Amino acid sequence: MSGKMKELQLPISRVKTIMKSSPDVDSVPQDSLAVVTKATELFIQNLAREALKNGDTSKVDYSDVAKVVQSKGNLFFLREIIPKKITVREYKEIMKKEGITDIISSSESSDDEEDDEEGGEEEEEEIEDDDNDNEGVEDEEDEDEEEVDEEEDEEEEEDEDEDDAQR
Amino acid sequence: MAERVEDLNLPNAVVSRLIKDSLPDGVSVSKEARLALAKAASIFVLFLTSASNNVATKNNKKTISAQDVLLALQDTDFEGFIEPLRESLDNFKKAQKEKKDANAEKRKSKSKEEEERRSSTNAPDGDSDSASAVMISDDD
Repeated sequence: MSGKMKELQLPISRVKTIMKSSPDVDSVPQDSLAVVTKATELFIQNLAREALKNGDTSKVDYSDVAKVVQSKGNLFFLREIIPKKITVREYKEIMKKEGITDIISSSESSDDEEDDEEGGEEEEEEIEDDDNDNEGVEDEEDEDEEEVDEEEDEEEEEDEDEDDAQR
Repeated sequence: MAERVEDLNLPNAVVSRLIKDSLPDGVSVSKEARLALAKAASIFVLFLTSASNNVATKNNKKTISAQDVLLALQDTDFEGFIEPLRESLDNFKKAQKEKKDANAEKRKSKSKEEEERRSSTNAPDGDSDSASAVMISDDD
């Protein structure tokens, strides 16, 4: 009997968690859960088979999956989840065609992460300074630090330049 | 409820096995492709849930029945899944029923055992407690 009847392979509890993460679902009966779980298994296997048809017959790659997703009408809901991959150059070309240039430059010069890192450095320095000078004037210290930071930045840039030159 | 974001992912090992089973021997699947398929599957669960919920709501129901899921598959253009799913739903129901019957049997025999124990020993308190605890965990 167990040979004929294929048991569910995906964990029902996990499927239930995912279903319940939907705001308008509060309880899911066991047999509905079983159907959704089995449907998901079929879905994975179908998508894998379709992907294999789409390229090299000995290997399934991301691009094969993406191609299936982009070409099948009933997989429309996945188009943003599994997009076709493009290179940065292609992206820039598309943006140029569309007349959007700001996005590229602004994304390249986004300093958010760098700012965070600098903040971290400042904190460390403050601690060190406190250890060294027992009763320093705080205001002066702050100014000093800012100057130090700027100098450091310049140094870093120079370092990078030197590295490039060495290569 | 989902406590961590990872709880909304399906286990990679199982997904990998499903993929492997569906493809001819010797076909390799890149890690990226596997992750994409796993992600697609999680989203599919949500997508199907939402479609099934729509069917249920349309029929003025609050809970999603298995029939609602099958109808939702029709709505979302996955008719191909319906037949195999009907089959496995029947199997599932059969299995559920067998489980239920087996549990009922077990309960019967257990309560019989308990009675016997109770009648044979004169200090049954601790024993009966642990026995009923076992029964509860069996029900789950």
